[in-house]
Amino acid sequence: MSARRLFLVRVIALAVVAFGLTYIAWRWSNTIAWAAWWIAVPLALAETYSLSESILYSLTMWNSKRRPAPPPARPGRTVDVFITTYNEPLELVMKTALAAREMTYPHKTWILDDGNRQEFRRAAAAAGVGYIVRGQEWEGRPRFAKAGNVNNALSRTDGDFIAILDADQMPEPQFLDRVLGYFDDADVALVQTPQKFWNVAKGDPLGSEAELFYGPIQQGKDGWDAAFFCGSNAVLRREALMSLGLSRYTRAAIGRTRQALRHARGRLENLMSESGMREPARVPLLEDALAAIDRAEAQLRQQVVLTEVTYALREDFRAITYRDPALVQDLIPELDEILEEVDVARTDQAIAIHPLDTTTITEDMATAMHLHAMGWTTVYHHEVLVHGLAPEDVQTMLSQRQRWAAGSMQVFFKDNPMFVSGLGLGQRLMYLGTMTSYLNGFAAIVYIAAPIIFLLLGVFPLRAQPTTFFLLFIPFFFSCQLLFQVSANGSGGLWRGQQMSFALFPTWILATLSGAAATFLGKHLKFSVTSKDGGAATTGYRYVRIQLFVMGLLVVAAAIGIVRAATGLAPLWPTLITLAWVAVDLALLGVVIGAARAAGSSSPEEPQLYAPGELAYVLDRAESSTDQPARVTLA
Amino acid sequence: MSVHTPRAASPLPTRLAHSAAPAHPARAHSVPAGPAADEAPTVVLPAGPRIIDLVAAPTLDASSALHLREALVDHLSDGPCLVLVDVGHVRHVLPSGLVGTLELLRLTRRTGGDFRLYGTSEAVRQASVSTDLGMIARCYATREQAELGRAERMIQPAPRRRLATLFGRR
Repeated sequence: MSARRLFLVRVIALAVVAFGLTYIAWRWSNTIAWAAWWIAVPLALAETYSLSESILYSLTMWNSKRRPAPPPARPGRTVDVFITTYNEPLELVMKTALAAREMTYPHKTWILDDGNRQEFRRAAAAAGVGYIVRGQEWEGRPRFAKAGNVNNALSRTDGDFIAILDADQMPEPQFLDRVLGYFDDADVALVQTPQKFWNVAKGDPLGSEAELFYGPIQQGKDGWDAAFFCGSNAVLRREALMSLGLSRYTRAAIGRTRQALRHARGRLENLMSESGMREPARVPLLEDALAAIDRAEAQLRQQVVLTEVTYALREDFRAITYRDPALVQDLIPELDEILEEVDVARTDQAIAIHPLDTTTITEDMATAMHLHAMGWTTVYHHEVLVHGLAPEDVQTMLSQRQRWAAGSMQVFFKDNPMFVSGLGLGQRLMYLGTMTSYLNGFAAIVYIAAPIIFLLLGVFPLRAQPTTFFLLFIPFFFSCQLLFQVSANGSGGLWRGQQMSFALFPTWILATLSGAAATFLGKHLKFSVTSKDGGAATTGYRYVRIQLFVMGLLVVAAAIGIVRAATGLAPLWPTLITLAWVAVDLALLGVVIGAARAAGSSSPEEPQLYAPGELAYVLDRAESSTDQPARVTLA
Repeated sequence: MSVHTPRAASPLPTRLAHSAAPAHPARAHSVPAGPAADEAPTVVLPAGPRIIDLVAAPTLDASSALHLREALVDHLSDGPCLVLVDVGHVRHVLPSGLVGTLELLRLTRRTGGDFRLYGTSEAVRQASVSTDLGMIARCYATREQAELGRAERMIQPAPRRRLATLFGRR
C-alpha cells in the first residue's frame, strides 16, 4: 500500500471509529425498545459486536506494511522441505514433491506420509526425495494429526530452516530464494507467503480466493508484527520452533510431574483397597510403592533435579518387583504405566518435545502466537510463490472452514491472546480480531431474526425517528464499506468475503460451540483433512438447508410485511427500512445457492512446475510391486 | 528405600519385567536415592545396565544430536543401557541440540536405561540456566558422578513465576 493510500485508509478508519461510536452510543442511550427487550437487546449487542469488529479491522489496516524487496538468500543455509500428506492421492502429492525438488536453492525434500503407504515410499524413491513415516514409538500414543506429523519429522532432520507445504501446494522454483533473505535478521522465526489457487471456478462461488486476507489483512498484521503462520507456504527457523517447544516443556515439567505423582498415589491407593480384599499378600508391596511415591514427592519439594527424582522412583519400583516376583507379576503393567506418566523424559509420548503446538487443531495460529510471545518476529512476504487446490464443492469448503473456525475458537477459549504473557497490545488485538470474527455467526442470527419478527409480529426492536436513524447509521455503514474498498487496494473477492462471513453462520456457531466444548468439556476436536480429490464434486443443497430455510422465511416475512403495511396494520417507514434490511440479508445469504451448485472449474489451468514425463515415470514406479531402496527413508 | 545395584555386565530388565535374580550377587554398589534414602530396606538387584560412553561435538545442535542418536540406536535395541555423554568440549549449544538431547533421554529411559551428561562446559551451563533445564536434568562434573547419578538438592533456585501481564512483551 502506498503512503498516500495508507494516509487515506487511516483517515477513513478514524471516520469509522467516530461514526461507529456515535451510532452505538445513541443506540444504547436512547433507542432500546425495552418492551421488546428480548430482541432489542440482542440487536444492540450484535451491532456493538459489529462495531468492535470494524474497529479491529481499522486497527489492522492502520499499520499496513509494504515491505521492500527481500535481501537475496545467503548461500550455505540448510533447508528441509516438508510435504505433509495423510490420505491425498499419490499423483497430487508427487506433483508437489517434484515441484519442490526443483526449487533452485539447495535443500532436501521430504514427504511426510501419515498414511504410511507403500506406493508413496516407492514413488519418493523414484523421485529421489526423502520419505518419513511415524515409527513404532507412535503406536498407542496420541498422534496429534498434522502437528504430530511435522514434529516427528523435525526430530529426524537437521536443516536450519523448514519449509512446510500441504500436499497440494506446488512451489515455484524461486520460492526459497525469495524468502530466505528475511532470515538474515536473527529475530525472524517465520516467513509466510500467500495461498493462491489455480482451480477456482469463474465467479468464485465458494469464496476460495482470499485476496483480502492474503493481502491487506496479512500486511496489516505484519505492520503490528503479528503476521500469522497459516500452516503451509511458509518457511520457519528450526531454532525458533525448538526454543518454543523447550520453553513449553520446561514450564510445565514440575507441575506435570507433581500431578502425575498425585495421580499415581490415587491409583496405588485404589489398588491397595482392591488388594486388601482379594490379595492381601500384595498390600505390603503396594505400601512400599506408596512410600516410594512419598519419597519422590519429598524430593520434588526439596527441588531435586527431576530426572533424578523419576529415575530414583523407577529404581524403587524395580526393587519392589524383585522381592516377590510371582506376587508382583500382575502389578508390573500398572507400575509401568505410573512410571511412564511420571517420567520427566515423557516416555508416555512418542517424542519428548512437540515444537509445533499440539493443543489445538489450528496448530499454525497457536504456534505463531507463542513465537510472538517469546519475542520472535514474523514476516509476511506478499508474492505468490506457491499454487494449490481450493475445495471444489460446498461440503469440502464447509468442512475446511469449520476446522479453521473451531480451532481458532479453541485457542480463543483455551489460550486467549489477551492473557498470553509476552504479547504486545497490537499483537493481542490482531489475534483477537481473527478469532472473534467467528462470533459473527451469533450476530447474523439476530440480523436475520429482527426483521422477521417485525414484519410478522409488528415488534420493532428500536425506538427512533427514521431521519435520526439514517443520519447516524448511514455514515457508519458507508464509511465501513469505503474502508473495505480503499484498504483492499484492488484485491478481489470483497463482496464474496462479506457474504461468506454472514451466510456461513451455522458453521461459525457450530465451530464456536465445538471450540468451547473442546476447552471446557474436554471433547475431542477431530482434525478433518480437506479433501483434495479435485474432480470429485457434487451439488450440495443439503449442506446449506438451514440458510435456504432462513431465506424462505425472510421472503415470506417480507410478503406479509408488505401486506400489513398496505392495509395499515404496520407503519410505512419502519416497514420500508425493514424491507431494505431483508434485501441486504438475502443478498448476503444468496451466496449459498451458487456454493451449493459449485462443481469445480470447467477449465482449470494447472501451473507446470514439474516435468510430466517424470511424473509418469514416478507413478509407474510407485505401482511396481518391486520394493526398491529409498534414497532416504526414516521411520 | 536404598537400592543396591551390583556393578556387573548383565543388563537390568527393560521396564519392570522381572528377570531371574543372579545365583551369585555381585559386589553391592550403593545408589543414594535422596534425603529419605536411609529409611528404606535394602534389596540386592541383578547387575546394572551396560555403560555406553559418547563424546558430544563442540556444537550441540540438531545435527550433532542426530549423530548421537545414530550412535545409540543399535545399543538401545540390545536392551537397557546407561549412556554417559562427555560435554566437556561443547562450546556452542542451540535449542535444537537440547531438544535432541532430551529426545535421547526419552529413548534410553523407554528401554529401561538412562542418559546423563557430564563435563565442564560453560556453554552447557549457560544453556541450562537460561532454559530452566537445570531443574530437569543435571550436567555432572565428572564421569564417576554421572555413573552414580547422585540425587542431591539442585544448586540453582526454582524459576520465579511471573504474573501474567496484559501489556508485557519480552
